[in-house]
Amino acid sequence: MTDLMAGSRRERPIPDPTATWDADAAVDQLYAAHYRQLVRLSALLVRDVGTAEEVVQDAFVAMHGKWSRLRDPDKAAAYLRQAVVNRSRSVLRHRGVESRYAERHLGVVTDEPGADEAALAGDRRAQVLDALRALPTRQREVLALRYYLDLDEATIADLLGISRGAVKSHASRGAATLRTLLSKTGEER
Amino acid sequence: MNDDDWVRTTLTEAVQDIEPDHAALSRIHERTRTTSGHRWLVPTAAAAGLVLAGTVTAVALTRPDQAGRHGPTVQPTSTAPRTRALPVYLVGDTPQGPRLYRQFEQLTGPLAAVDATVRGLGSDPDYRTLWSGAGAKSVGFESAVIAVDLEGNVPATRPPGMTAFQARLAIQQIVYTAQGALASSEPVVFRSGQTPLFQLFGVNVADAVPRAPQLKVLSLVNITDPAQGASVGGGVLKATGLANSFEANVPWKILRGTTVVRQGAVTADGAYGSKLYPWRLTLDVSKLAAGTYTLLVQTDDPSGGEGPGPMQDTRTFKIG
Repeated sequence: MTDLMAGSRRERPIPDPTATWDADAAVDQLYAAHYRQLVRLSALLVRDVGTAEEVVQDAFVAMHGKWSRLRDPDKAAAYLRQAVVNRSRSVLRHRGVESRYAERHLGVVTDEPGADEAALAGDRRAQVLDALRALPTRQREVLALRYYLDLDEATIADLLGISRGAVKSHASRGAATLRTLLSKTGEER
Repeated sequence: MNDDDWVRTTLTEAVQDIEPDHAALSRIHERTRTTSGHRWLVPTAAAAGLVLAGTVTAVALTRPDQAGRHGPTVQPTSTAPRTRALPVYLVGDTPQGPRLYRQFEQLTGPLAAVDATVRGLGSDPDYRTLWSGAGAKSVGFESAVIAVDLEGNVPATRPPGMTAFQARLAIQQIVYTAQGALASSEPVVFRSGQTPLFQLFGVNVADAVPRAPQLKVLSLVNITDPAQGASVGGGVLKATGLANSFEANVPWKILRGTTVVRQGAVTADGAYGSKLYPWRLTLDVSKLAAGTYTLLVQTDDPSGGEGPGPMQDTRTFKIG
């Protein structure tokens, strides 16, 4: 589970070679460190794994363009996180997830089949992702950032542009609703 | 468990099995390249437009715009060729005849990947090519197809000793590799010195060739990681791959020479159906002495030896 904490708890200083990274090298390094975790984060927000992959790839492409200004792996990781949260939100707003789903399942862009099916294979997983989708956007985002990425309240407040008090209340309401929704579907824990 | 832990566990478990598309990194690189980034997105959208209707078409057609918005970026500052992990499908033997095995190699791009499969250049000596004396000269998108230009020995008729299945498999080496390396599912047209080829090894390729069904041409089990000859550090072997095995059961063994030092089985994400499913193995190897080992992964053989026997893939790795 340690890889899930990358960028939040890991304090290991990254040595100076990063100063020589060009944008392509930065993409490679940050991809290795964060890509999988960001896809999982986005999946918590948008439910569909194919959409999540696209959101995160968009974020990396955008980060590549901004690298000359970021110039720092930690800043770039924070930028990616922010981009993924924002893009996940707007993809839900502006784009029918079902359409994306259809596009993927018609095999237009997919090479490695099965990510979607694998993600939704377990009833339990599908129930959790469904329950998250039923939450208000802010609650869903706060839960994912707080409990999946393990970010602290101040960082989440900055990232979402809300107060620390709001982070706290979204977290507790979101957790309570999630629990109610999942207990309705027969999940005992 | 307390509330915080409950939420943490619930969210983590909901997504812990999601593994990224292996082609994601090359897809990102394609899009950040100022020229080819646009080139590859446009035919993808065009293909989507041909296949889909209504709202889905509209969605697909937004892709070039996205590329335009994020696309023009910094040119690579280094002129040294950059490499990345790309899939190369080569041929290995199974109890049910030759099949394609996927392995990832560090290569400069799709052309290098297709050239590697045609020439049989893989890091694992278990695999080979069915081509002889041929190579790839160019690989690229054209409207809704992938065009592969070959050079060297490109026979129109099937050579003596080659079966009809091997002929089709030879062509699928290129189709699977080109599609995988380009992160595309578009069919492949073949050329030699820019002249269109209509027949290869006696197989009609006048129409663009789509990929053959996975279960017909792929080994039903393969290892993605570790790479051949990789060093395993930290006392933990992390292996991944794909399989379509009876009841999703994927038996594995760690061998030192011919001696089995560990064995067990993992469960793939699925079974049956028409494709391979991811499997993962995380194994504490801290007690194993330094040296060279082989990871052997098999399909399950419920016949108890009555059938043709299991398919398998092996990978050599080092500890210490």
